[in-house]
Amino acid sequence: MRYDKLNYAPALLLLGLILGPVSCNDLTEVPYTQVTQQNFKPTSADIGSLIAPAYTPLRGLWMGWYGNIDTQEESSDALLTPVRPNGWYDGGTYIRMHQHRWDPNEGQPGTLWGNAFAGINSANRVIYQIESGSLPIAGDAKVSVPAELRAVRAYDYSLLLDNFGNVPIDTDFTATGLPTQATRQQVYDFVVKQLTDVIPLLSDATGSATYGRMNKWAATALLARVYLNAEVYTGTPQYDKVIALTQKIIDGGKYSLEASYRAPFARNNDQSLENIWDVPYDAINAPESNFHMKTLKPELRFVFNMQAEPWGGSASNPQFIDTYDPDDQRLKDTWLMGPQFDDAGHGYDFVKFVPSITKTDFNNGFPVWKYEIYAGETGSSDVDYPIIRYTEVLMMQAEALLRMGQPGAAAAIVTQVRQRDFPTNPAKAAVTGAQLMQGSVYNYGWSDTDGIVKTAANGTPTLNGGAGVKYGRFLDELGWEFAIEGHRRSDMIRFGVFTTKTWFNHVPNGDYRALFPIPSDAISTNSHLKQNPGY
Amino acid sequence: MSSVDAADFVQAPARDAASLIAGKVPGLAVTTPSGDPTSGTEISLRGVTTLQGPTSPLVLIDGVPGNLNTVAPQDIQSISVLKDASAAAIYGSRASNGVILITTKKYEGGAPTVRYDGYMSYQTINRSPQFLQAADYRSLIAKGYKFEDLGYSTNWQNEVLRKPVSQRQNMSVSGGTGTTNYTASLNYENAQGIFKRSDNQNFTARVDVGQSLLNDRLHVDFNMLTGLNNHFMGPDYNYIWRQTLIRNPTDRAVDSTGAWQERGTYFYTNPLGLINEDNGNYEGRDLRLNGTLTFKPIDKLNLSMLTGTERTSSLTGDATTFQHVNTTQSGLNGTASRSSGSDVDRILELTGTYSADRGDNHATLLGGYSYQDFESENFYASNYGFPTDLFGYNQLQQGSALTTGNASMGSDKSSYKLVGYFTRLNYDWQNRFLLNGSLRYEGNSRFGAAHKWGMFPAISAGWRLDNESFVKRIAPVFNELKLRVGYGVTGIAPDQSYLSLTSYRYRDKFLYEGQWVEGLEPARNPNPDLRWERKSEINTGVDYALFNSRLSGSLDVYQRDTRDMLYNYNVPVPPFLYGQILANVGHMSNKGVEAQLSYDVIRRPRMSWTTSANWSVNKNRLVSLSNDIYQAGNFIQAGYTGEPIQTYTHRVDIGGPIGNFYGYKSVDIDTAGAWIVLDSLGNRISINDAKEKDKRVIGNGLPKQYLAWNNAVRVGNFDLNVNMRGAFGFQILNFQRLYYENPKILQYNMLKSAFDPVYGKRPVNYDLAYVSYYIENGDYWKVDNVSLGYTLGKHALQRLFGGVSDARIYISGTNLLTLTGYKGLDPEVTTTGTDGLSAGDDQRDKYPTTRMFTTGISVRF
Repeated sequence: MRYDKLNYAPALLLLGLILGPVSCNDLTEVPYTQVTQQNFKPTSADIGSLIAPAYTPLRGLWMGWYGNIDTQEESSDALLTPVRPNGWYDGGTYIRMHQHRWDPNEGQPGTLWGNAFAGINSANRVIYQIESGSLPIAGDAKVSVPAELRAVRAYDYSLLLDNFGNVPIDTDFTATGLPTQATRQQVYDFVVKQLTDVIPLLSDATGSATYGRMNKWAATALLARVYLNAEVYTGTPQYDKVIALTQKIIDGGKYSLEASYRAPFARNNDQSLENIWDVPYDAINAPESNFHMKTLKPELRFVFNMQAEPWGGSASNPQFIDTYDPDDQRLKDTWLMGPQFDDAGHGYDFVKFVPSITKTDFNNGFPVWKYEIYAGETGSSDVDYPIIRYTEVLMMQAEALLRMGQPGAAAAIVTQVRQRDFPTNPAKAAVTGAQLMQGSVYNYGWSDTDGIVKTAANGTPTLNGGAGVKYGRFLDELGWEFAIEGHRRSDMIRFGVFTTKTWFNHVPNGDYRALFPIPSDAISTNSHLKQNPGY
Repeated sequence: MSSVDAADFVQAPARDAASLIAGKVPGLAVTTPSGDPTSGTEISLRGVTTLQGPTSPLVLIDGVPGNLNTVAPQDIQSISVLKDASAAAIYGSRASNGVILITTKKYEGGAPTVRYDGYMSYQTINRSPQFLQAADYRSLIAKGYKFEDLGYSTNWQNEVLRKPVSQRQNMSVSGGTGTTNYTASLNYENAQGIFKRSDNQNFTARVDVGQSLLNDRLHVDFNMLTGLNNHFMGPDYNYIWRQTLIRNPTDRAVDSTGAWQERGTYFYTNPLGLINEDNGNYEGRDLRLNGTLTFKPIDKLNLSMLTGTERTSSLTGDATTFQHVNTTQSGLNGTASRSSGSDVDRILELTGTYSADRGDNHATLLGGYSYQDFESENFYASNYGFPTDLFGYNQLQQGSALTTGNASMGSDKSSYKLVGYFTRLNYDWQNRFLLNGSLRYEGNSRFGAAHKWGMFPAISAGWRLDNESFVKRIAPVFNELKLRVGYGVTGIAPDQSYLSLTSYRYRDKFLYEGQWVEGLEPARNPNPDLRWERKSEINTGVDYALFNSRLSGSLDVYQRDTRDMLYNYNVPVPPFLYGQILANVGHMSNKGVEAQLSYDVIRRPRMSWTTSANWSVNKNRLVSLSNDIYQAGNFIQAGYTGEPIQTYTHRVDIGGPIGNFYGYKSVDIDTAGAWIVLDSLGNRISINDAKEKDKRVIGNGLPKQYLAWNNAVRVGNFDLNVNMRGAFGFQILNFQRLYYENPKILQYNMLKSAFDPVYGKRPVNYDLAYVSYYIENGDYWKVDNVSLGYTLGKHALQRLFGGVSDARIYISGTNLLTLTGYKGLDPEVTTTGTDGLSAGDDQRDKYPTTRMFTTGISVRF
């Protein structure tokens, strides 16, 4: 082969081809639908947008699918989600919730854990961004916004404290290691300290300025609630602190009882003077609330002229209904009872009787209609969820007084709360201290398939009745007033019945069931987490 | 590499290019899991190699990336499949799932020719599910079952299904002179689906023009392809199929007022209303423009530049009338939506090839650069509450939902880039020893800043033993005997952009001081370490031909290891922002053997018979999925039963294979009708007492072996092709039985077999539950295609029609016969499932597959 100049030319050409297009090699990504640290310089006008992610998980947390209403009420003696003609077995999850046989894979506690930590994480992030100066916020907001976020975070932790006990405390957004687990005592101390620290820094404004957000009164009421349960959490009661904190709110004079029991749950309850802190829902802007779909039955769409067809699951436990005084307006205001038909005959005649958790018809048990059902309602309700009502502030003070040996003072408050509840027989509103010292009227025991309370199917002798429950009558009062507001599980634990009593198709399944298991997703991703005892 | 020429394609209407080579390439499983004319085939090459990366192969049409639908099957000259990474590695990150090279028909010299191909086909359902009819309802009611008798008789399957007729017409012309050539074709396809109104219409046109200049030193080629796709898009036929099956057969289709009979129950809708009151159209447009410039400054050097662009766009419109349940039941007063999408990609590829010969040495060196960028944009708007349903989706602004805030709208845009440098050296000595080496250095914008570039090397060697004198001496029967060994690395990139970036998005409104403001939240867990998923593969093989090449075949053994495998990890919040992050941690291995054998049983001028078979076996193992940071636990769950059972169907154990079904092992039924299952110790317990830990592996949905047997017989002017194929060693979860073989809830229709005794004892009386009773062996052997053709002799044609030079008429049948023990509609089910990891989930809503009969003609002038 001959070598001449031409033989080098190809190689040079090739080299040129390879090196030529180097300018096309910039692989920096260009996002078109997201903001980055480079192109976004926030100002104080963006505060609302920035703090939003600390609050928005509360929507799914409370009234969404597998929300906390389900977690707290389905595990209690008030609400059942039995198998219906159109399904509702769903792998047995509602039956496990009822029978306290949930496991670490259960969706309801998992949803609570996930939403609480999502809120905590967002709060941590925005607190860090403000404190590190990357969000240039000036003036009062530089103090009040982080304080507000710490209060929201404390609320999330209070839910974790109540439901899981031993959870990791994470407050540092820059930390990258796996969080370590704290004891329930440590979580309690953290929540108390955080709330105590921030209450003086929070706004005391009410109305639209702070609606849906944490203000001084909400944080104070929340701290009182933590103290009310302190004995459960730590073994040390703190009832005097409950009385002092609730008195501050009463003295503040910003809130009052509505004349009607239904007003705090009306579609326009953002106007209610009784509600201290709400989770705002809106069918268009904040559409997570669907508990009404879960409890109303399909043909009620025609009865209420709803746009969406409800799914038809949850309803009342007959034993819980039996505790009400028939004259108590709250019975009718909470539960949808008796014949409910439209002109064309669509609908149901709802009866109290529920055959069993595994087999029902649509009309067995009363659906919940405490939260207003309105014409044109879609799968997303407009009704805001009241996290804390003024009524609770009063009842917390009453309970603390009762437990500190002042039944008379407690009874006066309970009587005040009951004033609006007996329009046909006002005399029944009055309650005495002696009554509050009595046991519960709840007829605890196994209800097989005929509605008659008897020995459980597995032969377990049932723990009949509630007469022996200490301050049981007060527990009943809480049940009537706060039915299906997500309080029942905590209240039953505080009064010692949650893991000891039998109701409907449920028998006690161990004291450890007072805490939920740490979700398996959390355990499998964080080797520092130890499962709660018993699971 | 396996190549299949047009003459050996499956002679039947093809869903896409892959259908043409189903059963023809060992190791390449082509399944058609759905009868929907708009859905394609499912391709699996040498097992499952990725958990969450894309699984589609790289398809190159005359060297330009496209997809299996880009060109009409009639325009394809040959299809080659690069299975082995040593061949595919030069295609880098897009090659892990194999490379399919499609060569289109071009001018082959000689006189200009015009070709016409056309066929008509009609289909029937492959197997009808046997549900209760009205008479069955009534006799069961008489026996005390509480079915509801509404007083009518309707066979819902007959109401909803039809016997579809489809056709395809293809016309092409090609011709040329010494320096100029052209090819052009027009193609029209109208495929009807087995459901009323279900269809798919395609129109493609292609022009290819080439010109040589400067004594053939310069060659220019220009290629244009345009496609138009239309199909009826309104309702979801999977949901319609469910409604058809579960609807009460004693109900009527239309009520006394002429409206569709509805019953106002949750998820229970008249399927005829869904089909007839929904008017939707999808239109997709595709335009590909490519130009190639080839310059040969000297004989040994070839410089080439390819530039091109592809623009695909879609426009959809969908509206429901006032007679649709959206209005009659939900009061929406008509719904309508429109959407559009646009994808643009641009390509530039520069290559240089230099060949050198020196004595017994032959070498070819290739070098090149390739650049591709992609841009995707979408727009969507919907509204409801219209004054009239006459305008369909053509007056979106008139809906009242816009003013109430219930209308929705959205737009989106994303882009990414892919840049590669590549080189390859082919060397052979005396045509006895062959050596190939290649290297691709490729960058992808989707990765973290420090990980954008990856290196993909490959090397292979071959020894042509048939050219060795000692082989010629001792085994002269060999016409070919070649040993091969190769190693190569290919990559996969995630199919989403921006995953490595820290950025924020507006999401979830928040009530702030009386106003709803947009919340601003992190867009994702950013993973700045996101990088290539890398698959390395070693392949050894032998190619052989004996007895004047009457017997020929190949044998390949491979091992492929995917490392840095992408997986969406569950991570704790905090410290992470969200519960999942895509990260490169896992390792998966696949080992397998593939064999092909072909034999000319008869080889005579007027008569021939070639029979060929291919077989493949694959063993898959997920080696690891965790590191110090990302913990996947000891297993991952996959698949989903759907409501109301609501549980996973599969589990992949670390160290175990993909595709394992995981659930309760049922062994019996108790007197009350509840399942008896085995607990973790093997004891019989009631399902009521069963716990999560009692679940176990109850099958595997990935076929271990594929076998195909193809026969081509020619006698005189007749030709007969018989293609058979099967899959073995796998199980199927029969969702139809799981959901419809349970008489506990009598609200919906069910299979007749629901009343058969279970385990020879009694029907089930237990809530729907996922137990091994519904897992069946899926092994099947299909007579996939039989075609019989007759070629009209040249002389006969010329006597009859003058200019016709060649014509063939044929009849063919597809999916003719299936030998299987599987009780469902078709054992040829998905090998990926909806999440890529739930092979063998035969969903109850699956668009049923069909049997097809075709008559066609090809004429060449």
